[in-house]
Amino acid sequence: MASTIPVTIDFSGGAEFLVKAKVQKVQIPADSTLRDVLKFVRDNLVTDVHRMNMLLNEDASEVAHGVITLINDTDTGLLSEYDTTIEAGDTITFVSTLHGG
Amino acid sequence: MNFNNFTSDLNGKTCVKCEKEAKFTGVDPKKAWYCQECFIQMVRNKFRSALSKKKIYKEADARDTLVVYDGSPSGTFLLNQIDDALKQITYKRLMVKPTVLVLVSESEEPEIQQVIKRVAEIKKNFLENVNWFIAHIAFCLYDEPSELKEFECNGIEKITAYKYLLASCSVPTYKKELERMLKEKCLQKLAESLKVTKCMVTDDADDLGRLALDQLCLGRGGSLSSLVTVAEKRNDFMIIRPLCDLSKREISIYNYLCKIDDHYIQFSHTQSQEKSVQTLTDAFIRTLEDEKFYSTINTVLSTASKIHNTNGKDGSRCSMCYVEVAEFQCETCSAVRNSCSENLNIIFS
Repeated sequence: MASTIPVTIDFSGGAEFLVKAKVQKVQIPADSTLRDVLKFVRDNLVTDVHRMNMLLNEDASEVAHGVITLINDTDTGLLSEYDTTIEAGDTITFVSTLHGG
Repeated sequence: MNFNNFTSDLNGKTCVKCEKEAKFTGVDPKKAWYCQECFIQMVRNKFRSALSKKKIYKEADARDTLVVYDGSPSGTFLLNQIDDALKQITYKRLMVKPTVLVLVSESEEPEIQQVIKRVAEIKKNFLENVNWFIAHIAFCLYDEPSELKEFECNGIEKITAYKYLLASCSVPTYKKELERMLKEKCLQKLAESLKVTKCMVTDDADDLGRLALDQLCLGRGGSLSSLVTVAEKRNDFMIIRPLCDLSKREISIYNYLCKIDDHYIQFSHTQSQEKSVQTLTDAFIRTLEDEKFYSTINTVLSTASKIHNTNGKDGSRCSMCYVEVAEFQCETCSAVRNSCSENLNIIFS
């Protein structure tokens, strides 16, 4: 059985309304990249599937327009974007910029 | 254009303001990157400099300002900044006397009640000691300025008429434009009712960039600078746009880092995507940004700020949208009026 690592996934700015809880501690497969996390979020965390397009694109290969991803409070644009490898204990944050009002 | 090496170039960068490791980028990730502290400072500075460079509050007797809160991230940021600026003890204190206006666009009773409930909670965190009023955009339909009541949604009795008015507009593009103009009219009427001459709105750079392109398409290209500038004077009423230099991205990251991102007011339904010039503009900008043309909005806004109208040099303005025109009404407003079966002249007289 493949080993897993513990990570925290945080949803902010309105993205939390698409999932069960704002902050979720989960186990993901070791050596996962951010792109793998997106698929994990789609398959395991999103509860409002009708509005999934507000968080992820169609095949969950990227986040939707207007969603910012941070790993340990660092913009993934300053890391290796979707190819960033996730390590045990990391916090991955999804910040929606288009919700509200 | 090749962007393949773009991210690896940024990996391991240090902040452009200090020696710490960079954690966030500005609007264009190729131009500037910041550590957390410098990012927060940069965002605050953009807000303060937008207000200070135009010397809006130099006169001591005109500091009463309506601060709009619409439940959006930008609205929350605006409240936070005003709250923060008022708490400064000496030289950095913003000389403004705010009244918070919660502007409601939801039209169903349960949602309006939800807004009132949320406002009571949010008020405990920002500007608790100033007056708060809640009003629906339908307030624009009152003929005369009327007294505002606290703790309830003002203008609620005009919602049916407001919905009827919008429904009477047969062209989706003009309907959205009418909504925008009615919102501005509403702010003006609310300001009159409260005897305030200044109004701070929540329009950020993303909103204004889209607005500039919309207005260009609608034939108001000559008046772009006044529609996107930080301070727009309309007779005795001034619209202030202190977030005009800040993107939604910067605002949302700031709100997250400062832990104010749970003070939004949100509803689960999505906005109508009826085909219109506005939805096309939005899709156009999204596509450009997705293709990593991050500076599109900045370029649009900096160009728009240089376009001035010469038609209204004598001070004449359109009676509906207030752009400078030689005639009583601009061509766009005439088209909006003609697309509605209801008479708009009464509202905008």
